[in-house]
Formats: sequence, structure tokens, C-alpha cells
Amino acid sequence: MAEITAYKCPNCGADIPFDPHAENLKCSYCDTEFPVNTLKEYGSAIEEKSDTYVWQSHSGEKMDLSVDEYICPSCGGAVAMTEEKAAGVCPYCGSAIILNAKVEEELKPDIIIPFAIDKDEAYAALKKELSGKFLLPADFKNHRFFDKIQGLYVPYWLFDCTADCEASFRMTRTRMWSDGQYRYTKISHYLALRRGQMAFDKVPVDASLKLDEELLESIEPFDYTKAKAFDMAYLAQNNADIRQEEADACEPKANKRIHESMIAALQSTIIGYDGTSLQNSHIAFNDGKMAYAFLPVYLLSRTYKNKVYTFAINGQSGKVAGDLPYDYPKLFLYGALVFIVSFLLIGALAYFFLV
Amino acid sequence: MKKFFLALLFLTLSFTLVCADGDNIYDEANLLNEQQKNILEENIEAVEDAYDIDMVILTSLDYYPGDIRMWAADFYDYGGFLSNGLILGINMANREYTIVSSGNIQDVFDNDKIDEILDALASPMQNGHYFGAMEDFVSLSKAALDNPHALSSDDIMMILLSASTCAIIITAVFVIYHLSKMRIKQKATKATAYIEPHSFEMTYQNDLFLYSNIIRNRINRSNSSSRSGSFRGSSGASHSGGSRGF
Ligand SMILES: [Zn+2]
Ligand SMILES: [Zn+2]
Repeated sequence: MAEITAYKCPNCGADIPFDPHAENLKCSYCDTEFPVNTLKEYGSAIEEKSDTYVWQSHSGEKMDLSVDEYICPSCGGAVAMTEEKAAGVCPYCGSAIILNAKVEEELKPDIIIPFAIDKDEAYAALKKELSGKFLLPADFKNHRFFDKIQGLYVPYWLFDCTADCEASFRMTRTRMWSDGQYRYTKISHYLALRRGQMAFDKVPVDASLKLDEELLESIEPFDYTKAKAFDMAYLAQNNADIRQEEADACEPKANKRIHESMIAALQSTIIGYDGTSLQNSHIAFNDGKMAYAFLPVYLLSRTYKNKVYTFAINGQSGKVAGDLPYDYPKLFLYGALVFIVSFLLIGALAYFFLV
Repeated sequence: MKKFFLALLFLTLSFTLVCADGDNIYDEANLLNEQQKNILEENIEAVEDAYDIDMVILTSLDYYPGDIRMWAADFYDYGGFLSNGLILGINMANREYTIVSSGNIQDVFDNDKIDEILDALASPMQNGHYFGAMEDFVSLSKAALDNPHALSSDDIMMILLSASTCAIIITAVFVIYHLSKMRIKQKATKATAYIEPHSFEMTYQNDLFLYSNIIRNRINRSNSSSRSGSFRGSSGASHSGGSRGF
């Protein structure tokens, strides 16, 4: 490591050479003077440190299965069904699916959250979400495609850890006054250093190869207090997506979410300033554990005007997520109407104001 | 006898002419010929009779040190004119022209109206068409008096511009709001829902003052080449007025 022979000026970024005898040091570029202690704290705050994310690898225990895996010729999605179930439609795109192969062995989930609401309740939740959206095309709303709703256990990696985070923030306070001839603006700059710890419990990252990540994030959170140890019997009631993305590929998403939450928690302790922005942060956790889980999701897909619309409904809470098609002529018509009405109203107001 | 009457008539006529000239147009810079003066006089008198005001045009070759509006205002105040009136001053030495209103017609010829007329005169003034500028001054002033609350093209532009800007913003808000309702999705960037309750523990905290900057801005004053606003002449009378260079 190279020896540091100078502080950095918090104002302009220039080097300020060490002076062991001085209590205050002045930047020769911008003429700002700082106490040495401030420069020391500032120096440690801007020091680049790499983040440490250590996750214990998963046991990778397999389970014996004897399920049929169906594959969708249209979108390539795969879904496992127990023998009692008839082949249906693809949960990801709504096309007919065909038998692919028998699956004998797959990764065993550590936990499963059973479905808490039935199809009718999920349907009602979706229906409620779609009501009152006047831009929704009528033929989309009224179509009876909702009977194709199906429950699917979606694979997730759940991450537990205790994170230790150091962060520095820059803040400002602005004061303005005037003496009749000049207007003065004084901006004072501050530095906040924070360090804290926080424990995270089962941060979910979906391991689905097929489903949109944002769609699944949108139906969070799941209530883990209702989680059960995995049992094959659950798969007799609902299909499952037994193929999963590797945990390694999902880790960065969990890391990022944990890091962001830590910074937000530390930033929330900074009060009394006009503006606060993150300067630097460093996070470490060493006791990260992960679990593989099946979480309950209702899915519904429909192709409308050559585009697939997939809805996800949390199988516990009934929270709905998805994109909806717009009725463009309606949007244009209402947009034009709003424009004309507001133009006339404001024009008339301005006219009466001026005359 | 007949001759005497003719002579008297001629005398009266020439006296009225001289008088009329003295009443309204003080062309010390000789910018106008007799014919132009007569045309202006005629137009001005029509306005004066209709509104019971004085309308004065003053030109000069003498440099006036100071606010050119004061020059015109003082000429008006000390010239024995009616308390309600309007003066156009063109100073060829200063290369500035000004319009100042006095008395109750300041309601019509307020600073905005005067600025508007000054702007309209800018092009003939800069091109040396002084007679044209004076004609415009008279006709624009007459139009302002005839229809004191008429909207200028600037006002109409402003109404159209502000109404369409606001309407675009309102429409955009409306459209964005309804489109956002069509997207029932929310990207998760944090893990706030999975924080173990009461597990947050701060181990270090320090707030430090770094430095401060003071920015000093001179408060803007109007510059000398273009003035506008209400002011008091040296006689103490209050005026509205503006001026431009040319
Ligand atoms: Zn500096
Ligand atoms: Zn499909």
C-alpha cells in the first residue's frame, strides 16, 4: 500500500500536504482552512474499501421426484406437474404445453409457503385491480380468460445475514440574506460518518428462469411465519417450477438490496440539513446463509394484440402485479379533451386577469 | 373693407397655424417639413379634442445629461400644458427617445403601454424615419385611448403561450397518471421488509463541519439605455414613462 503523504481538500479535491505541527491546514488552491482532525475524518471517509459479501453455500440436497415436466413450444417455459393433473396451458404465456420428460431428481426446497388463497380469491383480487382503469380496452377487461388462472410454486433463494455498514454523507445548509446592494448566499458543507449493523431475514430473490424479476418483486412481501418444511404432498395440489437459477447468480441482487437498505437506515439518522447525499459506503457480512424455497404465486397469461400480458398474484396476500394494455384512441381522445378544456379555462382566466 | 376682412382672416388663420404649431410640435431639431408638421398637427388635434388632453412632440439637438424621461417630463410640466397629457421626446444628441404620460391618462398610458409603443417606434426610429415614428406615436396613442382595455398582440401572445404551456403540463400530468395506473409493478431496490425488528444498531456517528462558501450577487438595477417605470419630474408631478436608445 502506497504511503499517504497528503490529505484531500474537501472543497476542491487538491492535495493538502501533512504538517505534524499545525492544528489547522490551508488548501493552497482554494484557500479554505480546515482543522487537521476534520481532514483526518474526511480522509478516512473517502477511502475506497471493497465490500465483503460472504454467503455460505447451500447444501444442495436433492429430492426424489416422479413428476412430468411439460414444456411450452411457444415460449420455452417448463413446468412440473404431478401425474393426476391433466396437461393444461403454459403459465408464462397461455399457450398449450406438451409433455417433455419425466423428472426423477431435483434440488429440494428447504421451505415452502402453501397457498393461502384459492383461485377465486386470486381472480377477485385481479378483477378488483382492473376495475376503475378507464384506459383498459373493453375487450381486454371483459374477456373470459380469467379461468386460465393457475397456481405455481415459484423457486426462490432466501438470504439471511447481519450486515455491518460504514457510510459517509455530504450535507449542506443554505442561508440567504441581502444588504440592499448585494444578495448573499452562504452554503455550509458538512460531513456525516455513520456505522451500523442490521440483521436481515430471508431476503427473497426469485430463481425462476422464465418469470420477469420485476413482476415477482412487485408481489412481495411473503409472510414467512406461515412457511412449512417442504413436503411432496404440496406438489399434488399445485404445479411447480422445479428448474432454478443458481444461487450464485441471485446473490448480487440480494447484496444490492441489503446494501441499499443499510444506507437508507443510516441516512435516516441524519437530520437538520437542506440536502444530504451519499459520499461513500462500505458494507461487510460474513455470516450469510441461504435457503431454497417454493413460494406460492398465481399466474395468468394472455396474448392480446400479439403481446403477452402476464399477471402475478401473491398466493398469500392477493397482491397483484402486471402490465396492462392501453386503449390508444381513448387515451388520445381524453388527452385532447383535457388539453382543450384546460387551454380554454386558463386562457379565459388570463384574459380576465389582463383586462 | 373687403381687403381688411381678408387681411384679418389671413391674420387669424396664420395665427392659429402658428399657435397650433406652438401648441403641439416643438421641432427644435428640424426633423419635419411644413407639410409633415401640418399632417401631425391635424391628427393630434383630433385626439386632443376627443379626449381633452395635450399631446406634445419635442425634438432637440442639445445633449441632455441624465434620465431622458426627466427632460421630456420637465418640458411638459413647465410648458403650461393640461395636467392630463402625453409627450414624445426625441433627443438627437443623446440618440434617445422617450414617452412620458401625466395625470389621469397614466391609467391608459401605464409603463407597460408606453413600453409597447416605444417598442413599436424602435424600427422607424432606428431607420431615421422620424416622421413615420411620430405618426405611429399619434395613431398608437389614439388607438390606446379609443380602446383602453384592448389587448396588445404581446398580451394575446402571452395568453396563448401561458394557456398552452399550462394545458400541456396538465395534459401530461393527466396522461402520465393514467398510464402509470396501467403498470402495476414496482421494482424492489431495498430489503426493508426483511429487516429483523429492532436489529438496527448504530456503532459510530459523527457530524462534522467542513467549510462554507459565500456567494455575493449584485442586486440588478435597470441599465441606462432602456428605462421604464413611474417617476417624479422636477416640478413634483408624477409621471409614467420609458425611453429607448436608437
Ligand atoms: Zn481546496
Ligand atoms: Zn409459454
